[in-house]
Amino acid sequence: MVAAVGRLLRRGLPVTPATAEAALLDLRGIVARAADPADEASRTAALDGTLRGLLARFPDTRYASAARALFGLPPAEPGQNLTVRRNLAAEQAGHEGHHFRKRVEPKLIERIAWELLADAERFTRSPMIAPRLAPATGRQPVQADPFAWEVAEHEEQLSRLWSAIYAARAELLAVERLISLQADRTDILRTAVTAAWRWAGARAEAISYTTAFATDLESSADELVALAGWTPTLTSAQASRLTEAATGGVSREQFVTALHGETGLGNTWTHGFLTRPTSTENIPDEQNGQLS
Amino acid sequence: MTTINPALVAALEAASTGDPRRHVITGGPSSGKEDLIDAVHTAGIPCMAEEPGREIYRKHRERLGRHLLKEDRRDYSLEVLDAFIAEYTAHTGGIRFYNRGIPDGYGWEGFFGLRPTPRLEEATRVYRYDAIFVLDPLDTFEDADDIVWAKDREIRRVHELIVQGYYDAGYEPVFVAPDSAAARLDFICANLRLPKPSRGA
Repeated sequence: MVAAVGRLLRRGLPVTPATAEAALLDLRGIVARAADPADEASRTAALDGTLRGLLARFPDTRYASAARALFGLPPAEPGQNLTVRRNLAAEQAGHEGHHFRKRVEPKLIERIAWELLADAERFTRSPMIAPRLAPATGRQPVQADPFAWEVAEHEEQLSRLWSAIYAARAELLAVERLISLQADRTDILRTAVTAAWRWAGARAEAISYTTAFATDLESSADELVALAGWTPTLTSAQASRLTEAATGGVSREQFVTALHGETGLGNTWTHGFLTRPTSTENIPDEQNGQLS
Repeated sequence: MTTINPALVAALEAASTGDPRRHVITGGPSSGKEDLIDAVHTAGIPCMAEEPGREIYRKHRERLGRHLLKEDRRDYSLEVLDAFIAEYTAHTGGIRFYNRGIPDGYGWEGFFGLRPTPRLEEATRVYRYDAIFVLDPLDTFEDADDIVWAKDREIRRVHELIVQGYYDAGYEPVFVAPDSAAARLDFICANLRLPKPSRGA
């Protein structure tokens, strides 16, 4: 990273496709800013803008003007060669040219590289990881601003999504625990139905979330809900039927009522749990697989 | 009512018969923009009353009865763009501040993974502002680990995408460091070679 920034310095700003290296163009902050992330020219423009913004707000006020000059921003002028820019930067910093080049310039380059990495970190989006929570130090009013409304709503949906995924996870774990305990069969079936309700609710939330907020997300709704834990294999029609019955935050009773008569689906779900993990074919002949 | 600097009043009056000078004040949420816009109004500088996006957003939410999906956001941003163009063209002489500008649309579209529309690109080319002031966020975090809420992280992302939108549009924004609204307005006026409003206070 430091070397890539150093090489970019030779020509200075504006960044051109010839001077931008993949290590810089692939930074998350650059990809996220690009109007077309797949287009190198677009990412080059994003890198140029990011560097300009970063230099305009260079955190070390002592060397801010020198850093700008070094990269070709005012007081330097576009097209000036590195020697001219370096001399101007040394002058801005109040250093002798040789000292600046040997001692100060490498540190400025390092600082720019570090700032680019910190910027990339700010653009990390990990939708597959539940949001980390911290104690609220005070009320956090939402600014009257469309961006802020969208961001707040995004967080609401994200919280709902993860609460649904964890709720499903709890019930799926409960089913496996009861099986392991060789608990009463009725208890296992009841818990399996609860797990189906929670799992379907989580899938509904995941679909809602990915549709509204993460259409470009690499992970699909099914990948998100798979984080809740193992479930019996369902056909897509069966998964959709379960999800449909759980959509809208329905109660367990409403869910069961909506699926009344879905014996095949009930069997697939409950038998999936009751089948020994080592066997994939030996499904016992249950009398009643209805969800209840 | 705060006392207005007579030198500023005179400067604004002198400019009022000249060419339109349009200056944008922008930044992500939590940048202190609304306080600054209030200070601009208090100082008697012509300024857009409210960012049109708010009312249009409320209207879209009300009509849809749910949160905005990807296609809704496109409609929303086009309607906001029309409102910004109307604001721009309605101003014909003198200095005027804008509560966000047309290139903010790049930030909005970037935030939702949308490609900029040809209409936005054309409007950006046609309707040019004279100066762009970006308010850096008032919230300061020591390091990225302090940002524990996805919301905070997203708000930073919004801010940076807005900034990039202005660079993409060919502007060199002036960054306004976190400070009181009065100090920030003084900084902006000094940058525009206008008398500082606080001198009249």
